[in-house]
Amino acid sequence: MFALHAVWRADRRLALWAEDSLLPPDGYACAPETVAQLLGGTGPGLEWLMTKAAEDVTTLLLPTQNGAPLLSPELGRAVQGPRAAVTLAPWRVPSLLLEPGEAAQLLGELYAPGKPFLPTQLPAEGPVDVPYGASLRWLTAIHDLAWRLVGRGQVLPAVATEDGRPYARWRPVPDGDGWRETRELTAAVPPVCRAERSSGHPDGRAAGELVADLLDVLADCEARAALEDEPPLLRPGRVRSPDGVPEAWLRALGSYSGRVEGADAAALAGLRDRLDAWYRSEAPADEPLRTCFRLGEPLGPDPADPDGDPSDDNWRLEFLLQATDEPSLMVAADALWAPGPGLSALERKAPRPGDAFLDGLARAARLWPPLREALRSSHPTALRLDRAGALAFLRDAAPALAAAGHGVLLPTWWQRPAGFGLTLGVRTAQPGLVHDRSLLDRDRIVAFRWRAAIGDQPLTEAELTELAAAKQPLVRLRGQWTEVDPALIAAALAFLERQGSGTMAAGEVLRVALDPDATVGGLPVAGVSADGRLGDLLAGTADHRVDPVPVPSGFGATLRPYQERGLDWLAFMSRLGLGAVLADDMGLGKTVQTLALLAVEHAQGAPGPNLLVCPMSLVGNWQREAARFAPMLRVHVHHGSQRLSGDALRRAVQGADLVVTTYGLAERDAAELRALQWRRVIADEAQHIKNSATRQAVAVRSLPATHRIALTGTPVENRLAELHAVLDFANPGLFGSAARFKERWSIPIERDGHSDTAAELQRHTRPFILRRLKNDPAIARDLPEKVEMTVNCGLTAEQAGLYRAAVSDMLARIAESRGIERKGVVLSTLTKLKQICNHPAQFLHEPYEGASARLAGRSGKLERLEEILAEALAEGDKVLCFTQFAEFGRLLHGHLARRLGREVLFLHGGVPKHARDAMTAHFQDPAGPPVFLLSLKAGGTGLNLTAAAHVIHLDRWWNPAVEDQATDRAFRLGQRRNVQVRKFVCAGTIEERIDAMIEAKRTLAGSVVGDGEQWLTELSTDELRDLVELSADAGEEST
Amino acid sequence: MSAHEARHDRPLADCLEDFWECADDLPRDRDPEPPDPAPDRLGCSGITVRGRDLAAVLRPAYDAFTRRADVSSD
Repeated sequence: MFALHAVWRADRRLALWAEDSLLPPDGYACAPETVAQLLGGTGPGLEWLMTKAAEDVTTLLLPTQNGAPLLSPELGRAVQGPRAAVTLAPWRVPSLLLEPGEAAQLLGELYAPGKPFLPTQLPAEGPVDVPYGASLRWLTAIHDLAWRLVGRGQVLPAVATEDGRPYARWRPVPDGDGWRETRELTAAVPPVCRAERSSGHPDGRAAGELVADLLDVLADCEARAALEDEPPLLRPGRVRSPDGVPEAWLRALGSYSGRVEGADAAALAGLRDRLDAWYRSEAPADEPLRTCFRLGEPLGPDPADPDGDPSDDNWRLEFLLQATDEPSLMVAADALWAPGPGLSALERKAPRPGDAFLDGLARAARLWPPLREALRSSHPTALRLDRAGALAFLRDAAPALAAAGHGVLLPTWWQRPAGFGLTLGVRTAQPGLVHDRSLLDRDRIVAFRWRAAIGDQPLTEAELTELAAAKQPLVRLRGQWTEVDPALIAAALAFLERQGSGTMAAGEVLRVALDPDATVGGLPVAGVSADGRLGDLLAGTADHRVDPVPVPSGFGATLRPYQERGLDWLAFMSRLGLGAVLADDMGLGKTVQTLALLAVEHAQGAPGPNLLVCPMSLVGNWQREAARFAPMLRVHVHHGSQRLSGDALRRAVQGADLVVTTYGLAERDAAELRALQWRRVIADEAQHIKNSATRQAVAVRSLPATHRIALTGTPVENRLAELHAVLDFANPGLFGSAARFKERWSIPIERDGHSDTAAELQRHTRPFILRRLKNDPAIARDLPEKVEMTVNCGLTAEQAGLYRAAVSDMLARIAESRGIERKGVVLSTLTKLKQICNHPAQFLHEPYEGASARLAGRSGKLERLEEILAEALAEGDKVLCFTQFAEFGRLLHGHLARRLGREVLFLHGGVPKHARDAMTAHFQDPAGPPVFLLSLKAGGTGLNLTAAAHVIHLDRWWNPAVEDQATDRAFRLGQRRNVQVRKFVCAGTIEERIDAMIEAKRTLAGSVVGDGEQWLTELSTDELRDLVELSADAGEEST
Repeated sequence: MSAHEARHDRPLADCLEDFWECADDLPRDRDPEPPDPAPDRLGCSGITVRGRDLAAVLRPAYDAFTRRADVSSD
């Protein structure tokens, strides 16, 4: 009586043997040829296969009793003799061997589920039924699975290496059902099938590994069998691809052996990589439960050395199962196999969560083969990794797994890697000095020390040495893991040894600290820390902490507290040799702060003239403000058709403290101005150079100067290209080229919306920009309820001509008139002059409808008005504009609406009450028009216009009481708002002189200035002449 | 090793009782299953051979696999 058994060997051959019940007790298995006869007797198919079989001895670990192997239950022999202990012992069993191809055929032929016997014939004995051992039944079942996988097309071709040679193989890729069946078969394996002892498996084989090997080999055999009679995949022909590798591999897929012939190893590796990439492209399954992987850092000692130190190689990749529609429901894999709350919760989402987990794990193992080891266990929970394996997971597996839809949980330090760089520590205080009173300037020598750092954490020398010794990319430092480049560490060590510490000038420190792209010794500068004022500057708190600078006694204004801080900051930046951007809101006094700085430097005897470049409309303003606030400064205006050039210009400039010119002339006279030595260049309304490519911008940037200041009210931070232009003017080159700035900052911030990058940019630019907002409560506190300013406007040539004509006409006529007639002439002339100062079109009574080209460029006041309105609207403010003249209001109404592109309201005496109320309500509406023109006699009452932040008096009642009444009665001032009131005055005209008189006599009651304007008519002719005559320099606007 | 160690994970020395047997009944006849060629689950291969996409070149092989299954199950 025979029983047939089989085992799949580690050398990938099928070993068959048969037990013979008739053998004497010291025999066990029959001779292999008997096995061959047994199998061959079933029919011609197996008979032929037996001719291919070889004979060999297989070492099996078998249950042994009393020195003999126990027979299998198929033979049914009862145990003989006393019941002794059964042990496991190795036996050399004679067996028949089949190569994979034949083994597959045999197993296919023998597949007979449900039939426990194999009917066959023996030559001597005739027909006999041979029982299938369970091992053989099991192996045929495995083969059947492999056969079915191929039959469904669930295989993929691969490049494999066996014995160092390349092969093309078909690999099984089961779906969920296939995996389930695999697991069931693995669980059912008869222990005898695992019992081969070989050099690699001294205690037998693991079931999972055995099944994986079987399926791989058998599926490959069946695929080849299917292709055997088919035409080749590629018709033989001329090899087209450069290295012939895909063709050779395709040929091998259909050949019997699968050996790839004649292919270069590197090219084959390339093909393997591309195939892997293709196989990873499997679309993520849309499942209610998904497998997750969590990488845990090593805790505690290596399990192999329980008393040892914490190991760096004991990483754990944990497996979990997560509900895709409820991510907080995440259960560790080891809770999936027994009833519990985790399992129940998952079961509500989908049946058999354990299977879903294993399917997901199997899919993941295809993407990252090291996971296959975990699949060998029936209830995998985690995978142990060493440090190299952990890094491989982080770098390679994690992105692929995440892309395929698995959950991947990584340590936070990996997701936000801190860079390796150098930090600079600076000490400005001189040791030994208790109080260092000297102000910090750029030449001050400071002590510095470089240290290596990860992120912004400096490392000690010991830590750095430890890092260098590790020579591994993944290192643990202070309990945190991080990835570093060993080459960078070595570079850092070398640098620190050579130039790690010493002294340098503060200016040099700043250059490194403030350049966002600075590298030192090939490493990025991770941070700079300094003490004292230098530290304040870097932290952006300098404006609150700088040493106060006393305002010289001759200065004509009292600075408000925030203006004093502004002055201190400007002086500080200047001492450090840094360019500054003063970006306060309009009306906060950038002009006066700048002039204060110049006054301070003048008092210190600082050499060299300052060049101020501004729009043409502001030249007069600067001149007047300088004369008023800083009379000690010698001011030269480079402007107009009569301006100096050559040696005359040089002499004038050398004798001046402040030279004022326009953007237009900075460009036109660039060559001349560049040849002169400037202490400082100040760009007023710096948004004029916001486009760094314009000739004007280029010209201004090319002016040589030791210091630079940019004044601007527009919030340039909103448009980064403009910010760069202004910063680049103030500190040339510090922020790189415009293109580099765009790439580094504008695109990530403006296009991609990266707030981290925006914060980083702010950190780098903060030291250079001082910006206060008028609505900031801390600033508003320092402001009076009404901030009153005089805006000095110029006259165009047309205006000047008309003005002079009117004056000479008046002087001629009053010479010959007396009394009432004289009064009449004076009064009417005064009105004419006012009109001319407003706009020639008003004076000439031109029609107010029609194209605005007829108005533009003919009036200095109009030009300034447009600029101020634009700025106010850009800050989101509303403006009231008062004029005495309804006609002027009518002219402005349409023009301003067209210019500003917004609705403009116009209220005059002829408007009925209900319309007036409607207009008021419309203006007060936050979404309503931002500009309200009013021409009212001094009786406008009961208007609530508190939405306005600005009031502009385009022309004046030359009586302060009347004026203030108009201002205050026209609207009620809200308590919370600081209003800016501007009064327009044409420089060099009667307006300017009357204004001066009124200012001087404001506090006096009555006297010369009475009610109305009658008092003007009382003046003598000489007094009148002085009052009205136009200054020589008026009317230069148009050059 | 997980807490739920099944027989197939145990050392052989612990399996002497049922050394020769399958742990469970082996699966019997299966219902015929439809073809499921693996390349159809994947995206574009990006690999061309003689001007054709690899998936197209391999298609006849998969046809042969599935055809063989049909024939045998008749």
